[in-house]
Amino acid sequence: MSDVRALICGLLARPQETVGRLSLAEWEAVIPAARATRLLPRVGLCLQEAGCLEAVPAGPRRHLDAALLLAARHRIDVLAEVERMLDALAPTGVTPMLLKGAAYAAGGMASADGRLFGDIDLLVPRDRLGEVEQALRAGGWVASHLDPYDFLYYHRWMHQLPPLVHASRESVLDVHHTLSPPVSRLKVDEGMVLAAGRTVLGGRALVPMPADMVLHSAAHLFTDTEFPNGLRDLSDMDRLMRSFGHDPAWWELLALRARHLGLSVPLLMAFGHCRRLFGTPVPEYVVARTAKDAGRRRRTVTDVLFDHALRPALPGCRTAFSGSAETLLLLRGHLLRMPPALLVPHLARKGLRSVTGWLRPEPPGRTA
Amino acid sequence: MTVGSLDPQALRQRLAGPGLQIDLGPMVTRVRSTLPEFAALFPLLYGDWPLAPADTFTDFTCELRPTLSLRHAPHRRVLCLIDGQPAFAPQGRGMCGLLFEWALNWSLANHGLGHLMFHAAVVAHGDDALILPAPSGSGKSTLAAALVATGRWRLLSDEFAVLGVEDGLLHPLPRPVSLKNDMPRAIAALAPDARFAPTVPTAHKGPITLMRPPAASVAARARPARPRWLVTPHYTPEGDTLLHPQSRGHAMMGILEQCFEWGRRGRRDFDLVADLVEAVTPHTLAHADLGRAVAVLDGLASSSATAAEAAA
Amino acid sequence: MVADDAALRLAGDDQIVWRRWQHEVIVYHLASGAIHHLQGVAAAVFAELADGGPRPPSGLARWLAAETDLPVAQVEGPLAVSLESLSRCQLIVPQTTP
Repeated sequence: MSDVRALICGLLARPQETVGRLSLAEWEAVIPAARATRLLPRVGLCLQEAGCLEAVPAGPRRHLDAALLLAARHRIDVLAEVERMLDALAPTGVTPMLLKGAAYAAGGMASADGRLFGDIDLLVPRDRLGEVEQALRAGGWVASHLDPYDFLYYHRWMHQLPPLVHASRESVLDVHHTLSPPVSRLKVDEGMVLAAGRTVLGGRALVPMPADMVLHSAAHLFTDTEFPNGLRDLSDMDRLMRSFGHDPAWWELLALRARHLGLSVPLLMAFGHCRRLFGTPVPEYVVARTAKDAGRRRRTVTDVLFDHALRPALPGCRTAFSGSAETLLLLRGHLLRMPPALLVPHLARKGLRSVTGWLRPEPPGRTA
Repeated sequence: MTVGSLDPQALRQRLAGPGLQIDLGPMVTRVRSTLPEFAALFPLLYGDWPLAPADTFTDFTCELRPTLSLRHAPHRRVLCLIDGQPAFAPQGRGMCGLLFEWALNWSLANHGLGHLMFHAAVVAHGDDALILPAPSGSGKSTLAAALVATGRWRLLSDEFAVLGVEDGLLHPLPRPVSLKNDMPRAIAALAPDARFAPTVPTAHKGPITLMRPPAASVAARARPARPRWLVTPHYTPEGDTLLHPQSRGHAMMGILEQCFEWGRRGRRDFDLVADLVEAVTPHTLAHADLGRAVAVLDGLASSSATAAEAAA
Repeated sequence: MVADDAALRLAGDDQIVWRRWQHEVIVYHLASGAIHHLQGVAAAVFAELADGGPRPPSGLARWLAAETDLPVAQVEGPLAVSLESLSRCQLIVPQTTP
């Protein structure tokens, strides 16, 4: 059987030529792997856009149809929840900037199509954080249960409040006051991103301009510590770049923004992975300029590691290398985010938690 | 070829190798396991189910794998994987039959695949369905098992009402019924030929016994039924057995509370449930005595039948 | 409560789906996903706006008084509460002149 990740990427990038080639056994491997990477609706969408959903055999087709319905519902739900969040924030007069998934949905971006949404991320000025937290608390969002260690960790070192969970609807808000962790080596000037933002939802919220959306997603992916949605994030970037990249000037803007924001390294990595996996049409001179700005070779050991980690955590998808690659990348992410002195207690703590979590019996429950 | 017709040796080999594929209707599942306990239990519970043709697409793969547990060493535990990913905390080996049912429930609840699912037991008199929507603890499984044990009703499902999005009909999913505490004894008294898996103690729900679905119910698994009666049961020990009419609004809210993935299809989902509620005569049933509850529900069906004959 | 006596109408078909049975109405608000089980005055008012078309609160009060054979002053309070909750749930909206 072929590489399952390659089949998923093929369905996303070249649906027409890939769909007819898949055997039923390959579909049986593709459906759970696409679901595990949260790309199942995106696969359905790309097939739909290419007009070849009909060519999918009935068995896998049921899964794609169900996933498309779920994604459509998710999008409605996330926008409704953003509106409720804005209602709650109204008394403060703060216009938050939506980030990631919520920004894609509110901005009507191509990266919102066929996407599942999780937490709602928003950026607010640091000096308004107290007010914002209070207003959201009044709106029903409360700090999720955290032990004192985690609370301290969030407050002192992370670029956000602890996640706020709505008491009845269980939606999760991640309130950030900066685009980079305060102690990370990656410094992003959020003032620049805010100034270039576009207003959406009747002027009640901002979203980053499209180039900044790509850069923010890349910065997060390539400094993050967990990669369950890595392939999905790359697909988001691919769709963003494709929908604006017909204009040569936009590519130059993207490279320039990366340089000004100090994000040429993650952008270069995003270019490399998107081109290889999805054939994203990034002009050669833009890659060359970004590489020069990044002061870095095109393909490094880190890229090879990422490639292995960006595989669905399923049998048949992972190379023998993947597990250890992920461990190294986790460390790399922590190194980028925090001074080394902080690393040890946090990792140890996390390790401890995962053991107790694993022992807890988990009866099957209803899903929200 | 049915699961029961495979000789034990072949069954063990199939389970340990490519797995057994079963078309449950709402989904096709492939089950794999090297556990001898499961190889013994599976034909007892699923013996009447046919194996799916080899070229059938598998919707979900469930694997029950022996695993070592540090906490429970040196006893071996069972790990349940759905599509290759661990689904629940490892359990004792006696739980393997129940783990498989949990895995099916989990897959059905999370991925409707063209059906609207809600938590309910469903039985049918001919092709007229009686829906018993309720959370666990209401006695719906026991009532369904008792009605089926009379031979006058067939089992559609114990856990999930499967409503077809296209046809608005209830589709059968006659899987094993899970009975609590000493209920198997009460059912065995009604139906001496009923077959049960060994009782398993569980932490949350007390002792649970799986009952094999009657052969006639499995044989009719491709025959959907139209919604006809809706009875929301409440187990009220030391109370009377009372059937009360229920308003359609309350009945609809009751179903919506038990729905999985409600609202994905927007107004279509709303219309599906509203049409169902319009097609039935909703009631609530307070019950304590199993025999009397069965008589009341049988009476509901026969009075409706008499009314229909009188009208004809 | 809507401050002035502007005519009220049901939210558009693209906003809500509903089903009525005798004295109760179940309304599904599509955007929020909320389900409302209307009974009593709220159900009656909702049904009246569905059958009789847009109406200002004063007109609804007169209709409700006539239906229940009560003085207008006595129905105004419960009516105001019902209208307030119906509009808070976005099931009724002020009629906008085109």
